[in-house]
Amino acid sequence: MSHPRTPARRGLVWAIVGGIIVLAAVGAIILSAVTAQAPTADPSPSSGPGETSAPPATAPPTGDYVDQSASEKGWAPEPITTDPETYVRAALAAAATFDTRLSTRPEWLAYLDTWFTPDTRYTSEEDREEDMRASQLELRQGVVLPEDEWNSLANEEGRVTAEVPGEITYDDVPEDASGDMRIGTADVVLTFTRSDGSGSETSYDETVRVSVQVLCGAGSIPTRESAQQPGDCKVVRYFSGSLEP
Amino acid sequence: MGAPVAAAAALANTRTGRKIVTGAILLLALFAALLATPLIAVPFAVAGQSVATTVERRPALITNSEWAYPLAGGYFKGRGFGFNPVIGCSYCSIDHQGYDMAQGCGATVYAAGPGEVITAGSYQGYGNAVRIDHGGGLVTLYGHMQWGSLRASVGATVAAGAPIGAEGNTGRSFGCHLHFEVQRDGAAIDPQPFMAALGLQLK
Repeated sequence: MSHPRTPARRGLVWAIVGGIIVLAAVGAIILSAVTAQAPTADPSPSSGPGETSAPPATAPPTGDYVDQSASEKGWAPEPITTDPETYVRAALAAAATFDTRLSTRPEWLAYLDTWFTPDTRYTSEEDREEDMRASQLELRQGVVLPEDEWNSLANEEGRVTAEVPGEITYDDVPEDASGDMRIGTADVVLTFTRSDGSGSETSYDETVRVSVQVLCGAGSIPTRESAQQPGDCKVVRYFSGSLEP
Repeated sequence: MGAPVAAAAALANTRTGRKIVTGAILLLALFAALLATPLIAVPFAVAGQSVATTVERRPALITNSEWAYPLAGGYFKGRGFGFNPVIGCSYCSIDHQGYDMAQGCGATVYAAGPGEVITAGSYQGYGNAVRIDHGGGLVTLYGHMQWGSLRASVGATVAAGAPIGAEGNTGRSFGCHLHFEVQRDGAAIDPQPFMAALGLQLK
């Protein structure tokens, strides 16, 4: 009974197989047409031949510095000094001096890491290293301008220079038997400069009050491959939040 | 090679085959229509948008005091006036001079009150901003508007509720919002009680 229907059934099977092949072929053609389209370029601006390179944000420093070329990247160079006044002033400025045209935020933060030295109140090397890493994390998460602000500035070729024009107030560091560590607090004037969408630039100032703990004396670890010596001033930590009422 | 040839023969010679071909053609037509949809829909959408931009979404509420909300309709409130530290940033200002409000990028910003435009363009950290002098030492400021969106120029006289620009993310801003600031004799004052006194409650 089923023998006479076998050729027809076989034909139906082939027809279904053929139909699937036809649809698969059509699908493949459509897919290849879609995927073969060239990717569109991001509309981000690129430097044209007529554009000039951005000048350094800060003037080349004079005197002794760990890396004088830091200013070429828009950063504040670290002074080589044993004078807390000079160093605190520089450290407070450094944590808000950058040029988004000349470096990335991670590069700038890595540079600021080189200013740090461990807190000598810890007796073990391991604790000192751990505390310094925590202070460097605090710098990123609680002290410097946040990444959103960096990106906002970068969108408008922004940079910031900071300076401490006034007096610095000092506090002792608790349980510091050496007396070599100090906490300096001062008003820091941040000057923001950014393009205004019409090709020209606008600048404005903002004043914040920030504290930094420095070590000027035995136990400070100099930056590698620099002229800095043990005993020269280094940063122990920047403080997130105000230390004053 | 054998299978496709046999399939083609079966498609041509059997009723079922013809049905499969018809189905395949219908499916192909469906795919073609799907692919062609953007070609038809996009021009209509663009045309519709260009028509829509000539009409204001909603007028800003104007009260008997002849003042209006700087954004029409609902909005999200951002940082308020006064002591307002940015968590996790020692180098950020702790004093916020204005009242941040947001509807979304491109939302129309309206003049809160009648007066003369004294700033229209880049203004300090406010990005693309408009300042309006309302007389008597009173000035309102509208900050962070989109570049190229300003509809007011310096010296122009505007009425309350007049569109002056579009909400943006220019200047010292971390996202589209309007920084609405009220200044009296050069000093920023809290916009909330000021507007409330005019019958316009801010959140």
